[in-house]
Amino acid sequence: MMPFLSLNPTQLATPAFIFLIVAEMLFAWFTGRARFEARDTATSLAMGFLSVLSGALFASVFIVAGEFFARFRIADLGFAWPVLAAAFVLDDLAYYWWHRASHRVRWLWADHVQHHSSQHYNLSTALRQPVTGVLTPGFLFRAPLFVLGFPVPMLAFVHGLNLVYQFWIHTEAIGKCPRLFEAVMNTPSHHRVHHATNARYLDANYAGVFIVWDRMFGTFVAEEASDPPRYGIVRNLGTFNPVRVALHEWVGLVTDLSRARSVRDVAGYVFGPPGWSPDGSRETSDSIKAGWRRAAQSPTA
Amino acid sequence: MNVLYLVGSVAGIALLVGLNIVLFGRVRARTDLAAVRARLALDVPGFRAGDEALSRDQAAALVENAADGSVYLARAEGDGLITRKISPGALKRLVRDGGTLALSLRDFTFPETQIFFGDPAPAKGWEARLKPLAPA
Repeated sequence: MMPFLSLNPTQLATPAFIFLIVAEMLFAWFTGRARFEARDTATSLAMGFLSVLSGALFASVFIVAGEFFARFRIADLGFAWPVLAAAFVLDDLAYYWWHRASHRVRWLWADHVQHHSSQHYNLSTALRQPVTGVLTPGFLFRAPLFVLGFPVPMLAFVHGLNLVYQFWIHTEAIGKCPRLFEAVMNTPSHHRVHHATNARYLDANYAGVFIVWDRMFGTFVAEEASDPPRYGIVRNLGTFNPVRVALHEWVGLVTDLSRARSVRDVAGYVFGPPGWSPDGSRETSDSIKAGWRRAAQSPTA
Repeated sequence: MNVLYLVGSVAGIALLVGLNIVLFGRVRARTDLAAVRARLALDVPGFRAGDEALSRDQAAALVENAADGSVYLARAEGDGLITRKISPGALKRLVRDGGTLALSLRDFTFPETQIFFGDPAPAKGWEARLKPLAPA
């Protein structure tokens, strides 16, 4: 047994998070190369706090789910360093698919959109975490890891490490990293693209730690100096109220479901992409990208 | 959950928000037509600015997309800008009081927005234009 697996990496890293946000604020103040707005920062941090509370409140749900899937394990991989390394890599692969689905399936998006709701991109944005994860079946994406036989505490630990890694990439203070690092790892540049609403950047760079997943599965888009990212969501929020931020897409989803006229409508609203509507009158990321391509190709563009 | 961790987190949030205010001040939400036009040009493929009106308090604006005749409502929020296309059915309420037009959208995240024209004439013009999009 590895005794450190009982530690919670995100809790341990919290003092470092605070220190680094202070450092980034001072950097922004001196150089102007990052943007902060007090109410936005307060909302992000409040949501981070609420996320910790909801995580603690519903931790047992995830533990029970993990232990349930572990009952069907096909091997017992045990506690060894190579197993820990494999768990870290495969957990990141599971994260990639969960993250990709969270942008393409409205049920999951209703939770994940909370993280994208800031028009700012700084280290406080990293802490703007969803608080309604318990309402989604996100844990299913990690079920194969339990079935493969990775120990439950090991998976909890590497998932925490994954989240800690993702903190530092939420910044405009760092441009590009060395080429080899950019090729393999998720970086501030890659993740700025992910948080951008520019049509060319929509639905790209879902990686947690290793950007190689996006390169492998065709979702990688490089940051272009000629098209600086504009952060937020397609319909940015006119509120800093954390409760409204947390619930807005759920309210939209329930409202749409109350107006659904067929099973197809219900399935489209729940499992279709964000913006799906029965008559196609609303915009989805696909239609926005298609419009952008048409405009870019038109002779007057 | 460790109580010390929770108390420390709350203290950390207070410290960071306080430092944010000290370093960058409090933002008064305001915008101008150039900023709204620029934002719509980036967000709406093929956008061409047509008729437009900026609220006297510079907190909101109405801008027509001359490419298709649609109208966008823009609102300053913090140091950012939020925009909504006023599509049929999007308006929940449209009320004019002299030179002020109040628009409520069917949108959980977009607060009621007032456009202060000062003069009733342009307010009436925009009211007439938006009225067909509002419920009877």
